[in-house]
Amino acid sequence: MQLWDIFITQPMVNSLMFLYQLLFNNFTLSIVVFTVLVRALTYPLTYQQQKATKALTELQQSDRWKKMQEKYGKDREKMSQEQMKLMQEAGVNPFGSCLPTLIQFPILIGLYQAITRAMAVSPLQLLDLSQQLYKFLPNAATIIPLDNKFLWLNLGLPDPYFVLPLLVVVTSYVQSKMMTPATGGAGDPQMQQTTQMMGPMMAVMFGWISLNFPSGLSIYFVVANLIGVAQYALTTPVDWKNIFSLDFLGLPARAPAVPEKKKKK
Amino acid sequence: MPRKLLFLSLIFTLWLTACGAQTPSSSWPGLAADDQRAYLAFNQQVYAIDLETGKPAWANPFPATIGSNTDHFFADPGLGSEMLIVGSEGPTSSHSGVLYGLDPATGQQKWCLAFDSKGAERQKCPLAEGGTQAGLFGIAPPSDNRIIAGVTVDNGVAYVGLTNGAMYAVEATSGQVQWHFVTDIHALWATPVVSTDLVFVASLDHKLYARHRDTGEEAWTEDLGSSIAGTPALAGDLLYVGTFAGKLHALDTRTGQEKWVAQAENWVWGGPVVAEGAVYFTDIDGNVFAVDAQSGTQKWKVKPGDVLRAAPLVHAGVLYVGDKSGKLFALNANDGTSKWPAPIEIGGQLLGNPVLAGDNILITSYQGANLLSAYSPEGLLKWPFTPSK
Repeated sequence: MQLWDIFITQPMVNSLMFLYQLLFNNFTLSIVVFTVLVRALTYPLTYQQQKATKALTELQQSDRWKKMQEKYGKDREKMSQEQMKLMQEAGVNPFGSCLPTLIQFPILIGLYQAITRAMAVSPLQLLDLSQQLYKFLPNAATIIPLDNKFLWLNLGLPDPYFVLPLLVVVTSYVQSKMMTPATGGAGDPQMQQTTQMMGPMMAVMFGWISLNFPSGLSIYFVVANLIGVAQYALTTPVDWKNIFSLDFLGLPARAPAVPEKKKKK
Repeated sequence: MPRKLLFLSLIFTLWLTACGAQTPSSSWPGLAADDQRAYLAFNQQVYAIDLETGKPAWANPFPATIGSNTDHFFADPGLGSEMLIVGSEGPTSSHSGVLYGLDPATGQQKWCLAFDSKGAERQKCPLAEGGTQAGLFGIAPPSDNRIIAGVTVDNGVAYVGLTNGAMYAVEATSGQVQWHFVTDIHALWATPVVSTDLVFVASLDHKLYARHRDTGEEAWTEDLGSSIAGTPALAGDLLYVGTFAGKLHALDTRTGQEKWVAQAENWVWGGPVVAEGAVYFTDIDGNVFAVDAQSGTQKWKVKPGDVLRAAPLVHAGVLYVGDKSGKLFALNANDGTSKWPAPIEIGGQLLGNPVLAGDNILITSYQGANLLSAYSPEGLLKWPFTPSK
């Protein structure tokens, strides 16, 4: 067994199994509770990320930043140097919002693998699961295979009525829109446009994944997104109007990309 | 930075997709044999292999069954006097199994029976595009109707279980459904076993079902407390069944009443085998057990190698067991000692049940260099079979 399995996937698989027994043999509930627990444990990382994003947004909206943009608007290299300088002075780490996300990736991937492994819908998957189970996990043999029925869903198959993929798209979009700095792109219109496009693109991608993958995974996506939205909303004031502004479609932007004066020129 | 983030996100999403995509194989090769040929089912192919030469007599009777989507075969085929019955998991992502009746001499399709959420439907062979439930954009339909369990053919009737928990009795020559019944919630992965008047089917829902083979009516049902994926063994009035709870149960075939239980150390997945008054079975910890067939008293226990998924094979006082690390062991059936100085390194993973055909020990290998190998009882390689690419 590989180190990844020993330290990441195996503990997660066994935790899911344990929760399944505690939660009345309901795998949907165990996915939900496990996702909540994982998000709670990784909250310090999420908090750091939100704090860094907020600090960067505030800096980018400051007069000093705007003046710097006006001054060095045509000299990209110089502007970049000045941006770094301002960030250093303000104590803002440009990687502050990115690094915690990267650290969370292995957890996210592990969780995804754990859910698909626990559902084990084929003989090879079940054989793999049999090698993942801890010997001390009580009654493991009696709960396998997990009951994969929930409402109209077979958790091992994609949602045939597209409800979950739709929810995944909406919640992914809302979460990514919240997390993206309003002036993302540091004043560069092209970069800002790229930043604004990220949310919908990611949402569509996760929606596509949800269309083709087991619905158990979609449930995880939806719950994780909702928790992310709730965590952000509890710590940071949210402009809900902007979140649903659909500015990526070319509608009026929620924040000016370039100072008004420069636009008039 | 946003571009980098976007790039990273794209890579991550693609990576997620690649990791989670359904692997081409969901199981190991299925195998059946008579005195002249071995019939091998794996991925999108079914092969008839001549036992003398190891060369295919025919292969791939299913060219592009459903447009670009072809069936996936893993279940052990069932062999009747004039029919070969093979079950498929269905075309990619469809989860709609198909049962095929083939001429074992030529591989020609005689009939097709497609399963979807509504039940079974006989189709014209070969299946036309859209003939089975492929779903919108290739997305799976709400029910899971794959065939993972092996097929048993007896007295002109083929018996097969589906992953939706339904079991079908089908006339082998025509594909006409004689009867069917639906079990609780979970899938049927075990090959049914037939006695003179009953058919026994074990389920992942923990139950063993005994049905009258002519009508499908219930004779008895016994809850064994844990999933059953291995094929039960029938000997006289007793039926031997292994469970994931690490137990081997001996049940009275007429009543389902338990006679005795023997304990293993982990899941008993490969079915037990009975010979010379003893029952031999394995567990996934790699243990091989021999118990008295009447009392369940343990005779011996050995641990020759790695994980044991496959059932053992008994022939002429020798027990052949293949493990997950690709080794084939020969044990003396009377005491469990090694018959050979060292195991044969076949390679890949030996997860399918070995089959005796004439004087050949047939071993399939998953992810090995050869898909099928024939050995003499003494352990000499007669021929390997590797599909041409």
